[in-house]
Amino acid sequence: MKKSRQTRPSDIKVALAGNPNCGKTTLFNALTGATAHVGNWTGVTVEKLEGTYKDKKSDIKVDIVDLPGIYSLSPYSPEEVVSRDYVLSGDTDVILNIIDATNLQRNLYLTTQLLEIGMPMVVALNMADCLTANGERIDVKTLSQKLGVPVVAISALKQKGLKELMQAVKEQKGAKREGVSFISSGILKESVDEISALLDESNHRLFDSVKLVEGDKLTIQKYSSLAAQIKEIKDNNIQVKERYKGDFETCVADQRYQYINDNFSDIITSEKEKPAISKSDKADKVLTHRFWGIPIFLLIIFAIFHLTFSENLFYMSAVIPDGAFKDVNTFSSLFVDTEYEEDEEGNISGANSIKSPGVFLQGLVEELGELVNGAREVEDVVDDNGEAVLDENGEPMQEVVAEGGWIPRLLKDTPDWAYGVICDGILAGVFGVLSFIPQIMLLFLFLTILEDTGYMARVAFIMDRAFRRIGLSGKSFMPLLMCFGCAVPGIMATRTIENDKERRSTILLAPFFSCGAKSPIWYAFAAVLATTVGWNSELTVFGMYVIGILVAMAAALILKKISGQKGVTPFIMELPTYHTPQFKSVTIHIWQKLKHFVFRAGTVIAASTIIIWYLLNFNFKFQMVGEEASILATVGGWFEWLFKPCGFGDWKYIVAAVTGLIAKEEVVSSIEVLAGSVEDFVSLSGVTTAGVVAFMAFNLLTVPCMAAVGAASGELGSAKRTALAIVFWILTSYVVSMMIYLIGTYWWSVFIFAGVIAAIIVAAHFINKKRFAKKESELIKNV
Amino acid sequence: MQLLSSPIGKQVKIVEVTTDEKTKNRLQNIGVIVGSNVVVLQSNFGDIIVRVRDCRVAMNKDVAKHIIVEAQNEEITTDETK
Repeated sequence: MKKSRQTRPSDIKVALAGNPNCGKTTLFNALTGATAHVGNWTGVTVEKLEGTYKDKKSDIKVDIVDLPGIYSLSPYSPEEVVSRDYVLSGDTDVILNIIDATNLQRNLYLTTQLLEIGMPMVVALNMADCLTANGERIDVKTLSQKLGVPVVAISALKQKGLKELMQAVKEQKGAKREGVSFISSGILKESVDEISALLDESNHRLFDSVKLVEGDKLTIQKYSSLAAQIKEIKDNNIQVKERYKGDFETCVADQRYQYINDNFSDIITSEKEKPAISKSDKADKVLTHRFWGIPIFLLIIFAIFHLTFSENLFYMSAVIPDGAFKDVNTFSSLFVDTEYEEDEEGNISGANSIKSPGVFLQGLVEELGELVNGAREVEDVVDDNGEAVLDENGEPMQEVVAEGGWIPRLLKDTPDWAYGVICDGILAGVFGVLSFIPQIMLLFLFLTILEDTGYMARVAFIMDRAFRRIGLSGKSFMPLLMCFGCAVPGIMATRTIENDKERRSTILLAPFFSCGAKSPIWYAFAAVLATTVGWNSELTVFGMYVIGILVAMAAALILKKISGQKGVTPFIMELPTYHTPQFKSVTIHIWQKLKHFVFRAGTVIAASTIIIWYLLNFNFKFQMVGEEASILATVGGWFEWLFKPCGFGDWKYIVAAVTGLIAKEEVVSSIEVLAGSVEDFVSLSGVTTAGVVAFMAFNLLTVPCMAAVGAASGELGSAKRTALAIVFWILTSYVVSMMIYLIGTYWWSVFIFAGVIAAIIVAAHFINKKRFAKKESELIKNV
Repeated sequence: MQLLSSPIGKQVKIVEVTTDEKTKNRLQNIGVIVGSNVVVLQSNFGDIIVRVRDCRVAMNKDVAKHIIVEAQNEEITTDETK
């Protein structure tokens, strides 16, 4: 009984349409209980999402399709095409148009266009409560009368009015509604009527007529046979010729706004006079300042990294005396650094810094890992003379020094291979990944807060100038910044970039922005470099992000030169009003990201660690052998020569990097399986510091994880472009890591590389010049 | 006068948009059309933030120099919705 109910098809199908950043995704989440990602900037929804609203009491079941945010139905970017095609396809019963009450006129611009389609429609008036809080009043009843469709005031965030909204949607199902246009009078009426007479009867006849008058390219293509008649009708409109210089597009937009202004400006009444400059504007005076904007942004980013990765919070060690924390108990040692050095005169240095929240949380998880999976340590028994004691079989006698964690203790009597596969294989790999979750979570938290406040949109604005120099616009900034979290949503968000060349370049650069899953690699190696060469681990991690950014800039410049692209798409972007981050939307976002990460640690990573462990402990004849003779060692060995110039021509390094294709966090867990710990991995391999840095850079820049490659392939749209992208990533990572190793080892090689790069740029410049000259001459010939 | 040289905080009216068709369409959708009243809030080496119909729109220099505006009567600077 229950089952049949769940599989019952939905009663109603609804398309959710609205401006970007009007609370559309929030409403979708509230209605369907889904956890789609919401951000305070435009273009978060790039694909249509589907969900179902259910209400048991009233027995309403509604399928909801969340469309990308759009400003109008004149498609201009791919996301607008998706929305428009879907609304016009007639696949849905009702259009649900959500509008932001705090920005009514601009939102009604889309509404008046949707009304032209002859389909049942309901308007959800979001954030009406924000208006009343400001002492303003909104007349919902009049708005509904004037629009001719039901209007329901809701609060998507507080989940108010949703039931009433769905009730209204249900009532509209199957209702007949003729398309209504704002052009019921005025200078365009005649032209629209005449064109409409040429078209067949359909429920978007009026919509198409208006679009034909407007000169919408997609609609013109659809009615290409009528082109001559339409042109004649438009040419006959003398008024448009006089008042708008024959520019029908501007005329339609102007008339539409005029109509909205004339009819809807009295919907909102205010008791108080509005301040000329709002709080948001005041904040912008500083945050988007021409000199302070970028330094403030860099400071914020630095603070985020400091709170996440610093071993020395706020550089407090400058005021805390050396050795202050050297004798604290185990619990307190989670918060402070207890390690110190003592010189010959008994002077103590160190043990005087406080850990950042990120490092503290990471330590906590590591302690947990130790508790569960701490290794069982066995040593040979020695007598007083330091000689091994032999047992009755003549073998050295062994004793257990450390009992180890719960699992090793539980498994102490199991055979070696079972102990190995569980403790050294699965658990070591999974805990290796889990211990980085706190820091990734913090990083996500901060980025989400910045995004939710609306600051990120400002950052796109202040970064636009810099991006323009390397052939990208500020629009590329948002997708690339998302890549610091995860390259998959970042690559998908490139759809908001209208220019194809810019979009493809942005996708190619995406993996260079170190994603959350890569940070375990930096963190693990930074810790090793801190002990071996004394590098500040915070700076090492920060440095990896900087290398990624620098390489991305250089690559963007080279791509620009190669493609011979001229000019960058103009930057036009709406800036949302600043608001305090919403606890709910922030937690939803972080939870969603973490869930994904933990899920992967439990499935893909656990499974692949078993495979790696197998390949590492068995040979081709299925015999359990030492690592040096294993399958992985053999295959990896074949490629060692290739990576000698990069400084890490060691099969273990190659294997670790290859496993990164499954998921980047896999690199660390493979290392833990391969060598027990990252420290041993580095010290036993004999790879130099320059080689280690080159290896880190290789992992940063090479082909991203399969999930990201899949997303890129989807966005690039062809197998050929995807293959080229993969070649591009491999080449970049190989060349850059080679440069790092060689320059790090022989400083003078810097001149060789500088010369080669300059030669490439000059060559590309001349080749393009020739190419374009050829194209131009062909064009002239054809004319 | 080009929008990018319009003084900060003064309300001006758009009289002509001379960008390419695509950009013009984009501006239209966001509410920046001939006849709109706009106020430049921030100028960043020619990249500007303007207020139009209660929302803030950021645009770069290339766009801003193709929007031609004329000065308005000072008194209505505080309330451009009327």
